[in-house]
Amino acid sequence: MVKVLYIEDTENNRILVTRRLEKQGYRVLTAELAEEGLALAAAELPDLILMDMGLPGTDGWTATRLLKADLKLRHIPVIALTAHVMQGDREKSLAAGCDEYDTKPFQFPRLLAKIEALLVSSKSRAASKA
Amino acid sequence: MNSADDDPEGQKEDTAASRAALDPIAKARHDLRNPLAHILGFSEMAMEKAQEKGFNHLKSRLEVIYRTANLMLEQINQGLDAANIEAGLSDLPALQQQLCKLCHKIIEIAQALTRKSRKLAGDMFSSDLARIIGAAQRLLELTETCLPSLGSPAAPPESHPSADT
Repeated sequence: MVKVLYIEDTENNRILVTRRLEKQGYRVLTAELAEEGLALAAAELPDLILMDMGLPGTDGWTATRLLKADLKLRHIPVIALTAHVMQGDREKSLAAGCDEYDTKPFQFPRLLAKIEALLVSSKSRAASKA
Repeated sequence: MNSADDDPEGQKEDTAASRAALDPIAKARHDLRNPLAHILGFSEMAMEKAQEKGFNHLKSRLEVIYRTANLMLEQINQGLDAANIEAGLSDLPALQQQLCKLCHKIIEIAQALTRKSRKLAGDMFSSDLARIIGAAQRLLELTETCLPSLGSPAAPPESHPSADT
């Protein structure tokens, strides 16, 4: 079963995304804070990470940089999620190492398509290295 | 006097000043979109559940909530659009009034639905409806606090005697 880690401080968002993804057959792990999320990523090695950029304390951009700096975790695709819609937010997320970017309010089919596309490309990258 | 094109530093300052002035607006837009996203998400999931279980009346009332929330999102996107504000096309007091009215509408419908759905389906929809009501109440508070502050001109900085550094 594909494992997705969702790092998000807002409970409602965690509930909404978890329910949607579980309905699609994904196993969803959640964390409220960046530090907790990074620890869970190291322990569980999820197939993909959804990262809220506006986390309190260590924000999503910093958490992504830390993930991508870790040799064991850098291969995990990260989708940045933000309700910020300032110009430059997308570029900032990609510069931090995110593989994709999406905005809230979620259009779940769009988010799901991005998740699936990243999982496919991640799998084929892993297969070509083997 | 140099033209704007000859004054790149001036341009940078203008951009920084404009961006600083627009940041409260971007923040307001961000803050208002969050609870709206929750209303949209939970009402959408409740609609799907109502459809699956054959509760057509509940579904149609949830659709009203969903459409109302989408309308509010459009109004926020337009009313708090930087270009519209700069051009003087945004009427923030009218936006606040409209958003408050629509929040109350969502809360009333969700509360009525909670009572109705309990009779028809036990607690099947209670949690989602409670979250919709909570998000709408949160949105109402934000509408009443963050929009009025956008309309008031920034106070000039107070001059203080030199402080310890």
